[in-house]
This record gives sequence, C-alpha cells and structure tokens, in this order.
Amino acid sequence: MKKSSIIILSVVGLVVIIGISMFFKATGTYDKAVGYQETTSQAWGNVEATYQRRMDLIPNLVSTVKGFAAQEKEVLIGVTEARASVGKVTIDASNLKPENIKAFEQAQSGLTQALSKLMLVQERYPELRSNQNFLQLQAQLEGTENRINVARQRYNDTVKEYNTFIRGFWRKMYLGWLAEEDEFTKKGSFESEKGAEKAYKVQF
Amino acid sequence: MMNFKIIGFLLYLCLFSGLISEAKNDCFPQRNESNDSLVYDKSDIFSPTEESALNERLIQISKNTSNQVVVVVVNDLCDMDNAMYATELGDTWGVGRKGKDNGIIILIKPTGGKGERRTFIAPGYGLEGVIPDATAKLVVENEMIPNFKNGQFYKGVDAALDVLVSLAKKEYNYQAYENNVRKRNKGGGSALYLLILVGVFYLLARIFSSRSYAQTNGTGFWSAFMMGSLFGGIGGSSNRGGWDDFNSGGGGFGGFGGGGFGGGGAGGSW
Repeated sequence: MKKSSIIILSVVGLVVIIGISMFFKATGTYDKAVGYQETTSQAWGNVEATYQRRMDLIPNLVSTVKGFAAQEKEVLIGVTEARASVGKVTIDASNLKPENIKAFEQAQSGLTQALSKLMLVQERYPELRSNQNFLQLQAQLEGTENRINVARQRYNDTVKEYNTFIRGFWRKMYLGWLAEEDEFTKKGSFESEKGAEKAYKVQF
Repeated sequence: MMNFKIIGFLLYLCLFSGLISEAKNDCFPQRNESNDSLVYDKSDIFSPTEESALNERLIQISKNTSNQVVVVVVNDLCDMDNAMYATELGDTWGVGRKGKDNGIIILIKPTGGKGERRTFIAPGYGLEGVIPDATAKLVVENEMIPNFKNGQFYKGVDAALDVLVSLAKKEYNYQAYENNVRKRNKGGGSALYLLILVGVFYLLARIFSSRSYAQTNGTGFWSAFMMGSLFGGIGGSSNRGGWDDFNSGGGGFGGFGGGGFGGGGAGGSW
C-alpha cells in the first residue's frame, strides 16, 4: 500500500466518522426541537383554556350586572361586543407566529378593558356591590385573571427556551438538514402589560 | 492602589452575582431539606410555640389526608403580585403529591403600609374543585384578615385551616361554608350558638354513654356520669386519634411530592 492511499483512506475514514456523528447529532437536535415545540403547544393550550374560562364567565356576569344597573347600556354592550370579537381570534398551536400572538393579545386586552369598565360600574350601585352572586363572580373573575397571568408567564418561558434552542448556530444548521421548510420558526410571546391586565382589580 | 483594585473587583463580583440572582426562582426562599418544616416564617410573626404547634398540625394534615399545606411568611414578593408568587412558589417547591396536585400554599406578607400587607390561599390543581376561588376569598376575608388586622396571625391561620381541611377532606362542601359565613355575618352570635350546640351534643353523648355504662356495669347512672367526667370518656372514646394524636409520628412529613399549581385561589390585603 502506498503512503498516499493510506492518507486518503484515513481522511475518508475521518470524514465518514465526522459525518456519522453529525448525523446523530442532527437527529438528536431534531428530536429535542420537537420536544420543545410540544411543550410550547401544551403551554399554549393552557393559555387558551384560561382565556376561554374568562369568556365563559361573562354571560353570567353581564346578566347579574344588568339586574342592578340596566341603564349602563354602553358598558354592557361594550363587554358583549369585545367578547364576540375575541371569539373570532383563535390561533392553532401549530401557528404561534409573533404577529398572530400579537393580534390575539390585542383582542384579549380589548376585552380586559371592557371588563374593567364593567367592574367599575359597581361603585355606583351599592346593591350590586353587596349582591352575593356578584361577589362570587367577582372572585371567580379575579381567580381567572390570575390563572391567565400564570398561563401566559409559563407560555412565555417555554417560548423563550424554544426560540433560543432553534436559533443556535449549529442547531439551526442541523434543523435545516432534517426539518421541513417552516417546521421550526420563531414563536411569539406575550408582552407584559402589568397595568392593563390588573386594571379592574378593585380593592376595598 | 492594589487594595482599591481588589475592592473594585469584589464590588464588581457582588454586582454581577446580584444581577444573576434576580432570576425569578432565585428570589424564592430556599427550602432547607434537613429541617423538614411546613412553616416558613421569615417575618417571625409566630412565636416559637405557635410555630411548632402549627407545624405539628400541618404534618398531621399531610399524614392523615395526604394534602400538603404550607404556610409561607415573607417580607418581599419579588416584584410579583401575591397570586403569582404563591402559585409559582407552590409549583417550584412542588407542594402536594405528584398526579394528585393536592398542595395548598398559605402566603402571608405582613410588612408594608395599609393595603400592602397581603395574603393569598393557593390550592393546587387537584384542590381547585373543592376550594373554588370564591370560597378561598371568603376564607381570606372572614377567617384570616379580621384576625391579621389585630396581629393575631396564628389564630387567623388556624381558623383558615379548620375550613380548608374540612373542604379538602370533603367533610362539607363550599356551599355549606358559604351559607355558614352568610349566617355568621348576619346574626353575629352564631359562633356562640355553635359552641352551645356542640356543648349540648357533647352532654347528650356523655349521658347516653354513661347510661349504657351504668346498665352494663350495674352502677348507678350518676356515678357513671361522674366517672366519665373525671376520666374523660367511657367506652372507647378515649382514643380519639386524628388531629389530637400528636405523639404518633413526631418526625417529618416526608418531603414534597411534585404537585402542580395553576393560579387558583384568592387573596386579599389589609
């Protein structure tokens, strides 16, 4: 065997070894990326569920307030309309693009503001304020709002992890080999708007 | 000159490590695995006797019902609101059993001015059904805050535990409690009624057991009654077990099991 062929063989062997190890690295990266994506999807499911919970509370809340403050038509209609427009903006877990999340958040914060106006109505109606049913709904709404905050926070955490993972230099390359075109794109997260979200927590 | 450099470097280190520890979970109190306590009182609002009594009660709750209740007293909520703090702390510590998610965090932040002193009851996922938010709110407003206002923290937590444990054990449901509170708030003296009712019931029970004791043992009724009063119960009632059985374990509660929290519960401020 010639000296040159030994060199060529060892180079080829090295390339093969590097190739194989890169292949394993790539499949491992792909599996991990899938895992991270699943986690964000799950967290998103929780976000939607908590917002849905808020939607479910509204008819009851509106009718209770109506019973004591029917003349507050504007506020009541505002809530009903905001609720309807929120219902139109839903996002599939496979499509959590930043612009979609932003649209979702905008619609929801419209409802938040409408609700905060509704909860302020109680200041003018002492009977409403002491109504057991209303107090219960208020506590439920507060609790739902807390759940929304928690779900949003946790979703954001998972998105941060996911986005960091898919954007690493090597990982991006590996994913480019194995994944389909738009399989791993950057996902959007919620912007914290502490003031707006807390607006209607009336403290006595 | 050299010293200044060293001091500067140390300052830099302090600053830098300070920046790192701003992360959310680092702000939470660290659990001391060896001390195994279910009361975390950073503010010393409980006397040592109260703290150990409370801890003993919580350990019994954990042993008897598998529900884990933790009382956490802190001076600082790490820039979170009380709901988020209690929820994330419960989740980070993993209070409750895994799968059952049956932990409860009772958070108290007793420092600050009026309205900044906060409390929160956070039930884990598994207990959200038996302790709905509205009920947690009632417990906070009727059992805890009135006592907390007078600085009687132990009394407030103890009263809240009475309700929460009964709810979690499904001894009575939240509607019964809500009715109870409503009556109490209207009538005022219903605590006295309850006391009288319990007293009458106790007397009746004693009379009946004394009578059967008198019949089976051939003694007179009144002597049996007196004996019962002196020796504290005739016929099996001496071993009440349950909450009073403080000597049975003595040890710890066996650690947290990884229960989850999702933001349920309610709080208040005073």
